[in-house]
Amino acid sequence: MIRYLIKNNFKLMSRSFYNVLLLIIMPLVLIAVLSSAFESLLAKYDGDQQIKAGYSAEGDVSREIIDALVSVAEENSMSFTEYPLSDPANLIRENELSAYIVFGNDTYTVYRNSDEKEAAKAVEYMVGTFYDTAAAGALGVQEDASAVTVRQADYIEPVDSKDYYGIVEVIYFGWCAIVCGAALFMNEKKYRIRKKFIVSGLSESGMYFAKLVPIAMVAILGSIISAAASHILFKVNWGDKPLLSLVILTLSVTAASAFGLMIHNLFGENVVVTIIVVFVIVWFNGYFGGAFETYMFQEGVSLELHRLWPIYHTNRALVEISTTGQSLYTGSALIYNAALAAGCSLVAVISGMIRRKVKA
Amino acid sequence: MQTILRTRDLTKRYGDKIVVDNLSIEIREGEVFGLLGPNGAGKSTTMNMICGIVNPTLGEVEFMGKDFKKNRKELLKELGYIPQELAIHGNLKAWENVELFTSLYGIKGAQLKRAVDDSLEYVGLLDRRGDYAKTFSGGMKRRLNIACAIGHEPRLLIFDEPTVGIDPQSRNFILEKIKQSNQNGATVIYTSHYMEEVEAICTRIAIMDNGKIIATGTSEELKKMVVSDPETITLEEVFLTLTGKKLRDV
Repeated sequence: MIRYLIKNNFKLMSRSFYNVLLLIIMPLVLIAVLSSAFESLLAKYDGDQQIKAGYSAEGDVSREIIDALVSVAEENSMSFTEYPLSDPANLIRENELSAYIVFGNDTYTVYRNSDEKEAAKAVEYMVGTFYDTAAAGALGVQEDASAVTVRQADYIEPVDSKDYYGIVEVIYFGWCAIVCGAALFMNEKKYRIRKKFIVSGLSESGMYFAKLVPIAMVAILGSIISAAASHILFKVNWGDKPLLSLVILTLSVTAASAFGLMIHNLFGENVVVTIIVVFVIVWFNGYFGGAFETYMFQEGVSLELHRLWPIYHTNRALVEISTTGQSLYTGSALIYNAALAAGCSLVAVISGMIRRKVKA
Repeated sequence: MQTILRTRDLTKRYGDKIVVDNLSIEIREGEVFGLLGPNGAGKSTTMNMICGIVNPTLGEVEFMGKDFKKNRKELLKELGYIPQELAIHGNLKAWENVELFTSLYGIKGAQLKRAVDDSLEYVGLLDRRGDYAKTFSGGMKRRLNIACAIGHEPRLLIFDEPTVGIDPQSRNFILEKIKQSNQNGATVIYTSHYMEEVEAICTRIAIMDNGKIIATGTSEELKKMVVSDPETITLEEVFLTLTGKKLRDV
């Protein structure tokens, strides 16, 4: 009967002031700091300023695809002009371009103007997103281009720094969900409460879910309050699909809780080690996922590396849902987080069973 | 009296070290069985094996006529374990603590509410049911610790040094309650370092050393093992005679 255990664990966690501090106040502080610090960076992206880019095509590149790309670029305040294939540096300098793209058969190369890094990255991001979409077939753009049908979509609606960081910081701190369980873990360890659970016949999975459910509940509640506060205090726009955003956020926090508990079990229920290991991994997750530097403007990080980290999928899904109402990353965010929650739970329960057997 | 718990050749080895060595004991239904022994004698390991926390290397435990290993889940419902540690949550109220641990035995709803109140009343904490455990004194915490283990009305209660570090009044209260539980039908296994406690409440006592039971009997029988007139010796003197005066640093 773990219902009562879940209920009382929830009470224990929600009575800790530090959880409230971390999950509600800290994102708000970071939203204020980071949105202010990166305001100028993202302001370039607000659509008021036209970004100039040039392109050339080599080989048998589909004109339909290029035309579709140019059309999408125009909708995103970027004017694309075709030039004959030439030296990129000269072309950029002579025509005052932010970026120059050479489209090949299966590849494209983006040359960036070093004096207009942000604008150039915006172009790169837009083109990358376009090709992602095309590859996914979501817009009906086919790679062989024999029967191209193109439906327009807004790939990168203007997102200002406040909205961007408003969303990603709530997600990032949701990944620190394990902190909610710290007081419970320490008490259970100090007073050897696990021993009493074993004597009561409580199974390893029972013990695990009696922690996972309340940790996720407290963290989800904290994240929702934080999201609501970000909207009220900073007017952060979470988009017009709150239910979908809530589902993604909930799954993300659940995955984070399961991940934290897995680490806790793998490291012999040592709270300090758990917190250190989780925070280091979460930091990398945030770093590559765009929690500190925007994922669209991050230097030296490939798309593949971005995609390795679950928070990237969640960030992109929620940021894009907030601006365009849809995202190609919705599915991957849901699947990645659900798979992570299930996988981590399985590992945590099995490792707990092994540990119990070894200790006995 | 019927045997409620029996161990046969119970052995626990950690590497080359034998902590419990071929231990065979019988606990009869309705008795208060005291287990005495110096530090490192193997008392806690024995208790842990009886409770299913630790698996024996060899031997078996039979509880209520059934093999413990095979019927673990069913038999654990008839067992109440009061650990030496205060296994309670300071940030939970007294009733919440009792509810948490009692519910683990499958008790729910109105029955659970009644069990919580009965347990708290039993240990004299009903009027403090809404207070956080962290605000309690050491003695009150010990009593709450007991309340958390008796809500499911087990047939066998295992007390592992339940009176460590508390005032005489609380100690007296706990001992009285153990006697009362026994009178109400529960069988009790009691481990302690306080000889006078063991002598006061236990109907039978076993002295354990180096993983083996070296003597078993009533207080008087144990005393007679050392001297002919039991009036002339205390249980502590018997204990020291049988186990020796050498310090046991573990």
